[in-house]
Amino acid sequence: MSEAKATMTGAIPDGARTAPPQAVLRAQNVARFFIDGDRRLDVLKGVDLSLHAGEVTALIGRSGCGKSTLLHLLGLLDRPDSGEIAIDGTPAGSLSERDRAYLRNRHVGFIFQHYFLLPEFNVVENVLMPAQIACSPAAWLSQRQRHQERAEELVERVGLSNHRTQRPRTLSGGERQRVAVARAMMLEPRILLCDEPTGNLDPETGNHIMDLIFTLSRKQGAAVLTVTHDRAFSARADRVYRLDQGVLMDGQKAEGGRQKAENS
Amino acid sequence: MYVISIAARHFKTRSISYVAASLIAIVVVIYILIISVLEGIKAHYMDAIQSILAHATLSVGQLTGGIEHPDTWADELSKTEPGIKGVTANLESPAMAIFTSPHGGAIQTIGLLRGVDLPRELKFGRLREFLSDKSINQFGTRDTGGRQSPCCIVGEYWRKSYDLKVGKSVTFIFTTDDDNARPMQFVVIGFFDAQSSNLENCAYCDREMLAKAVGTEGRAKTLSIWFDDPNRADIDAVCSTLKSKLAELIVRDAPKEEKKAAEDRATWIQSETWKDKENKMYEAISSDNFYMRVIMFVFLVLIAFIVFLIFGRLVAEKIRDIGALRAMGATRFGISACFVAQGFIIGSIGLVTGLILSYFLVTRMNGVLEYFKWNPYPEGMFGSNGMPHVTLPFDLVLISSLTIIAAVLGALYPAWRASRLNPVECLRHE
Repeated sequence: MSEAKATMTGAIPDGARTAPPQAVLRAQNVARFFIDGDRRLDVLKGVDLSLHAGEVTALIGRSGCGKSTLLHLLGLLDRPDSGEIAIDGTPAGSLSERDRAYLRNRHVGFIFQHYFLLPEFNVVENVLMPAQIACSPAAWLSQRQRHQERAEELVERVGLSNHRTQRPRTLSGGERQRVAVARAMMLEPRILLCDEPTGNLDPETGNHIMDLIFTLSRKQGAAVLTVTHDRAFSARADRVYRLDQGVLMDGQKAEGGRQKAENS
Repeated sequence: MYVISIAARHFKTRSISYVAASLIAIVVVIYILIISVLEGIKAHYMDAIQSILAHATLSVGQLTGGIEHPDTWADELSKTEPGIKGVTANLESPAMAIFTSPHGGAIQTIGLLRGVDLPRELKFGRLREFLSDKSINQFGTRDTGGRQSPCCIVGEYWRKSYDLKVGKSVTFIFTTDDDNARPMQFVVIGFFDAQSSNLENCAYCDREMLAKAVGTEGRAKTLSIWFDDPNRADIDAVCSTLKSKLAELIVRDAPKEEKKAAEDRATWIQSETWKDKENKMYEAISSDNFYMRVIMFVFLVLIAFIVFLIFGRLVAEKIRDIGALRAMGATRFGISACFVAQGFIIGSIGLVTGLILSYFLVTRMNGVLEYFKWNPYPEGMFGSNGMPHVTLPFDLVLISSLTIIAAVLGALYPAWRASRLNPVECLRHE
């Protein structure tokens, strides 16, 4: 509880700093299984992964191999069956739901394939939502101006200044994803988790979104992990991992290994 | 902050919220309208029941010597408890009234001759409201064929029935203290209209004059208590205190040799409130209003159920949004608070709309009824003021609190269910 409180105030207890300082997120021996009737499905089998500030990491693999599950675990939306995930050196396993929600809000930004924008709110309001979640009504009154300016700036940066007051349903897929990118960056998170951000977009729009993610994350020094089937995306990433049958492998090696096998 | 923001936006953008708020407003309007009319009718009848009657009376019984120091004891009793406007001493005697018929001959009827201290009766009671001539302040005497006859004020019922007029003579025959019948001629100086033939079947005259005529000079038979608020909830308890106080006074002021008899006499004291006099009618009207409140409570339970259904559907529609909010850092409590707050908003808006509408409807009710030329009750039943209506603060507080509670309770379970949803499953929801 004291650790949780320390986290809530932004200070991380010394004892909790188990990961090297450069790793913003570290997953150690993370496993997750699901029970389907009387069958046990081991989706993740002891995954080790570190994300570093300013780096873009791509996670590739076949559909249904557990990429999104890993992403949800790393984003503290789900709990692993074993193993540990630490954000900024703070092990998340022992934290309460409330503290995990706090970490998610302040340190993690999500971008989803299906955007998940709130249909009742306009573009700027959607971008502002993480800040609204972070603030109590009293804090909101004093900080609203600052957050509003930040949201307007992000909307401008993603090129949607002319759509500021539009509701998501009036926007194209690409525009919606740009709003989602701006929303994910609102509180300058240390970690950006993207679940097939270009999966629903045409190649040209997908390229624009990719550029945005690379530019904004590098500028903010965020660690990016993106689940993707898009080869162009993974080609631009600093590191590529492949998830296969619950095991995480270095993507380049895996790719090379497969090519060699195919050649022979 | 997002709780308020999301709750308000959900309310604003979903037409079903307006439907729910409108339903609540309708229930509030119906409740206030009906209960105001029922309370108005109750007040009308309570007013008719109370009318010229004292709010409570203390009597020492027919077999005793009466109240020996009426004015002193009345003054002392009036200071016993707060909220007592005044105490008056009366002497009542059943009497036969004999009038001269306009068609010749005499008409006889049985009624009550009520001896009162008129200035005090007018000061503390409501007699003046009902007098045909508001300037009457004293009974006095009038000359009737060379002798002075005492004056009286007669009920409107007798005026209408026997064509009495001011200045006419009436003879009352009453029983004296030694059980003899004594006739006495009175002169009518005015009439009172108590809107009840029961209450009007009587005549007021001077108490001291009547006491002398009956043979109980200086004494009274009852003490009338007048309260600032005749509807006070503790009226029975206050009467009980006054009863004890009167018993004390009877014993205190009795001569030494009669103390024992006075103690015995003090046990004969009886008290009766205006509610006791018309108990059945009072209970009937009060229980009507009680059952009305019960019926409206059932309506509010129905509202809670409707809100529950609406929110159940809303939660099902918002599963992906719930997932997105959890991903952005919303807590379980925050998610449930969004829905509960929306229930609160629906309840509040429905309530405020209902209160405003009912204010206009209640205050303009008679105009509306007149416009549609519709009178649900027989004409003249409630006098010339149209449909009576009284809106009690109690009912406003009751409906306000129950409405908000119903709306919040209706939202509570769906909100709790929303908060328990797994965010990962929400994000994967098709």
